[in-house]
Amino acid sequence: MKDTKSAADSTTRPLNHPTTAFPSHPTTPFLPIPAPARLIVPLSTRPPGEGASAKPPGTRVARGDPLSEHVPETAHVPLSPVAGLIVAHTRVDVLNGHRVAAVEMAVEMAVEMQVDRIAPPPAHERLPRPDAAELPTWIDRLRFAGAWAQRRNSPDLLAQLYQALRRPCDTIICNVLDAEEAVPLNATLARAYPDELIAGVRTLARALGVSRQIVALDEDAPSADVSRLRSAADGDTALHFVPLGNSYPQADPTLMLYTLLNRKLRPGRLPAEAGVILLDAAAAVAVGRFARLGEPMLDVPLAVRDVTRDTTHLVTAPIGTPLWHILEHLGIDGELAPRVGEALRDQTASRDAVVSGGELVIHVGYAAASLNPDPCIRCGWCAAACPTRIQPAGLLEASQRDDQSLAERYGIAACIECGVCSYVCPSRLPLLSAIRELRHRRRP
Amino acid sequence: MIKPAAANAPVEPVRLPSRGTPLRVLHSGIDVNRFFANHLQAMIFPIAAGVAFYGWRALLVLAGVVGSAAMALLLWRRVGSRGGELRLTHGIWMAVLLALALPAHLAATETAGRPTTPWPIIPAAGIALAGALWLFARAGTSRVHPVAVVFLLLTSLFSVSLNPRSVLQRDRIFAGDVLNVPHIEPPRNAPIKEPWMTALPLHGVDAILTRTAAVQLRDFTRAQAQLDHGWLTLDEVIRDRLPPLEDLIIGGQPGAIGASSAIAVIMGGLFLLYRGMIDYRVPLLIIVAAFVTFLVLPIPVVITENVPRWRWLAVTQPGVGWSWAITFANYELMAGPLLFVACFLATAPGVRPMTKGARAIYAVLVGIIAAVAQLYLSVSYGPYLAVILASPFTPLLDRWVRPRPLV
Repeated sequence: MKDTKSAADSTTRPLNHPTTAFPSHPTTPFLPIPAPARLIVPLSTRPPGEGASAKPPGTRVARGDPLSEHVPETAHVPLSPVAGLIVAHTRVDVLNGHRVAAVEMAVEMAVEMQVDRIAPPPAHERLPRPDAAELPTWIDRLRFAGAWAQRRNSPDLLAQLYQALRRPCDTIICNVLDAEEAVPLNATLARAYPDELIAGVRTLARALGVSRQIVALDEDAPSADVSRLRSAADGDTALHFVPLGNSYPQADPTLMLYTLLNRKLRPGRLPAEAGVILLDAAAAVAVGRFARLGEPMLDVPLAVRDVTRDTTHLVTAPIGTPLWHILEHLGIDGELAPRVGEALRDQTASRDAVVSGGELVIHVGYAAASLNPDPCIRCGWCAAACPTRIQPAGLLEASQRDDQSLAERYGIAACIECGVCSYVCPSRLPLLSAIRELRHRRRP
Repeated sequence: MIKPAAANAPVEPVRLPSRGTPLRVLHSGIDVNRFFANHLQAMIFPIAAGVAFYGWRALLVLAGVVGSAAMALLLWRRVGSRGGELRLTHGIWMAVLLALALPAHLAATETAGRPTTPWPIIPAAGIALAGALWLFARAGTSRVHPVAVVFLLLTSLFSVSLNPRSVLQRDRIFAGDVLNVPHIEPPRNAPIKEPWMTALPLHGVDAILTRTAAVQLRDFTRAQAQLDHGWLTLDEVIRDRLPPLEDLIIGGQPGAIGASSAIAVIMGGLFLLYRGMIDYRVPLLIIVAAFVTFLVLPIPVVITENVPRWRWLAVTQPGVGWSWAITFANYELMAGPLLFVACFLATAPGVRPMTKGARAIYAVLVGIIAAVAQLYLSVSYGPYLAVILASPFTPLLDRWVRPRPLV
């Protein structure tokens, strides 16, 4: 009872901070993290990222200014999240595991604080309603708005849209599922920004000319949240709200497409290959904010879970903010190891990695103790628990033998690396890392 | 002028309460020891039934087998690299299974009317089990169930000593001595008059002597039954020579410590199912396959002058309707250790396949072999033999029957 009350309090407490543009709503539950003295803004979504030629050091940039003079046609335009001075060109780890080219900026506070005084324009006034013919135009607009998302459950948005130019898509899915109930990033975004979320889905749907728009909701989502989204949809019959049983890893694109549309998508491939554009609530809200208010994507929402204290922090941070700064700001022990994305995927991250359009969920806890695993007892739990019906124990054997054909027979191509097999294995066998090792060997 | 942004002091962080079960760690917490401990917990039901029906001697057998196996394992663990992979919890689980497959009267220095002293069988069983565990490799990798092997070894060596004959009377459960029996043994073809639950107590003794349903069924299906008046029909056997079916369900008849009470065995199996330790397909399909096989395979419906008339129960015979056929199959299911094997031995990791489809085929195979062995060899050890004969197919089934990946 007490928990429910504190959750309600947290969603109604007004927060108004001048350092970030994200919480334009006065009732946002997201705590803005102020920019550190230095930001390291990534120039690209994937390595090497040298395609974007950054402005030279010493250049002063305003908030929202492009940081590069030239970017490849298919990449987003990196924007300055705050006013400041370009100090150096460097490379940085982003939270989707890539190391990319970046610019280091010294933050200039005085200029930055003027930004939020600009009143947001009324909805749907600043930009025209797009139609299907305008998809290339919309892609360019999103590129120049710095909008990007490239994370496990919301694959590369721009790449999906470019693929949709070649292969028309008939469905757009907005994934509002959270992998863990204790880390409700998507649910909170949908609750706090229903208009933006719906606007984002609609904008892309109109630009793509799709026949089906689906918002995948947790079947246990509070009815008030669902009502808020329905009311934001304003009776739009083309938009379907589909409740889904949210057992991990249902939010994975492969499972999402299979569950909703009975379409098969190989892990790691773009949903557009199956005729679907898939984005999560954070990406939809980013697109919606740009469509409604013309706001570029300069901040990202994050969920930081302190496993040791059993506490979740919902925050926003400017793109390029190092992870250590966020953790320090939240008072999280500097010795704890961060993991990004869903916890069971066991993707460790450097504390020097910066936030961007990559993973938005961060778990901070003790580093996994190195254990001497027991021999396999052939309990079969890994195979029984696998959501894609592969045989992880067989893949471990294939990894030990370095036998790729055996790995194919045991279904490595269908593995979504959810980590459920390692989670349930009583022998604590390194099944997930064996699968990653196999894939790494296959793609040197 | 550039100012550090951190100068802008933040408000206190928003703390969301955790709801449900967060994925706090990267492992479920159920390790190998807990896996086997869960199996051991399920044994509580048949152990309790065994102690109830066979008294303190059942506990002695249990302690003797487990203790000797544990001590032998401690020695075997020092032998070679295989020894280092032996797990005590796994060994104890196996020892409990073996003890439950044995009769309680083994815990005695002498048995009336029998030539051998039975108690050395108990430590011998434990020591043999430890050796089998070492020989057939560590937990999970053995395709041969060590308990089934040791049980069959003991049966071949000490078949007479392992034949149970007595069960505690209703008013002497738990506390009675299963060897405190009347001196006069009942005749071989003595009809079973009353169910164990309602039988009048015999004064001065704790237990009653009776021929087991397993022996009666074995004698009949092997055409070795004693004929009363020149012939013996199936319905006569069921009506006059076998105990009431409820005795087999409850366990009020002589038998192995853990295998004679069908209800206790089923409860143990349900516990394992509830804890997610076993796949329901294996016990269910073993039982279904065995039941169907009992109806399909030819059995002697009438024995005249020791000449059996073989018939299929699935095809209605004169004088043998469906009701008799189904009752016969029910007796075959519960008279021996079939349920015990289906729930606890055939489901063991290592002997059963890993994938669902392969497990279904394996279970059907075990059920069919068990039924054949029960009908034509012995009700008492047929199911153990079935596990040994079916488990070598496990690697092949795992290779042939693989689930189709989602994409």
